[in-house]
Amino acid sequence: MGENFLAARAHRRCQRQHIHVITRFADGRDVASTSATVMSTPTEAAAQLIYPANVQANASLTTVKFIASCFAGAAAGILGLQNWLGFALFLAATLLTSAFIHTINCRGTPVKFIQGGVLELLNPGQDNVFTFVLVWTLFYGIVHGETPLKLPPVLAVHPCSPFSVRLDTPLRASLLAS
Amino acid sequence: MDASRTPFPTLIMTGRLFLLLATLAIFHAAYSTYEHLSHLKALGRPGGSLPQSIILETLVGLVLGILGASLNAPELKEITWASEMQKHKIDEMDSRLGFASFVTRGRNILSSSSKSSAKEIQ
Repeated sequence: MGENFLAARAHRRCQRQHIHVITRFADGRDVASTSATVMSTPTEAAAQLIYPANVQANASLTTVKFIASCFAGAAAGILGLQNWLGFALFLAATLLTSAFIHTINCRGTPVKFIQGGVLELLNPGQDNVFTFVLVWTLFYGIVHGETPLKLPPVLAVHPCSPFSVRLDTPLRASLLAS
Repeated sequence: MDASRTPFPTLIMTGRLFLLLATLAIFHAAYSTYEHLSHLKALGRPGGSLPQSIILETLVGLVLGILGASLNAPELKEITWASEMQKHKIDEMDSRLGFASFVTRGRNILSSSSKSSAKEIQ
């Protein structure tokens, strides 16, 4: 059978059924025809060329962005940054994270690994702004706060709790007293 | 780049080491800042700026932490079908079981009793 005939047949089958047809030729070549080659929208066409299991495997990048947000929040809190300065640090940390992911994880070509390419890299991640603000307020409150750090009293005095402490030691008494 | 399965030392271990160092640096910087500010408050001049070493330690902790997080991530896999097909044979992905033929011509060609009938067919 002629190659053109087989390719045309695969083409027509795609047209009818909107599927991804793989044709094997006698010399071992495998040629894929998709309805992308026929008439589907560009986004559908692009989506059909993606292997979804690997897209999920690459979700480990969300962990990287989360850890980066946590460290940025800690740094902003320790340095005592306020208002827009803190968010400027978050922006800088996001750019730094994108640069590291681009060079180390994606090895220079993010398009191969991430849907959406470089722009998706620059996205700090779902809810990571809130993570940043949370850790920022935590560290700011501890380091720069007016009151010293003390344990919540619930942990210390409840008689039945496994964490109940003896009050006769001076350290623990001071924790409650101050 | 080192694969995640090769033994010590690997890229992931470097990442974890950096993350640990960064965490220690951040906590040390936090405690140092707290001490410094308490010191200033005790001396009666609160609101001073932090010493340069603490600022440097914080920023080093930040950069090292992000670097460690990036190295800690497992290797990414390419997302296109074409790259996945480099690793598999076509039969694994699209076996077309409906077209599989389990009846072969070996019955006619190889059995001795039908060698004469095979010659006739030809």
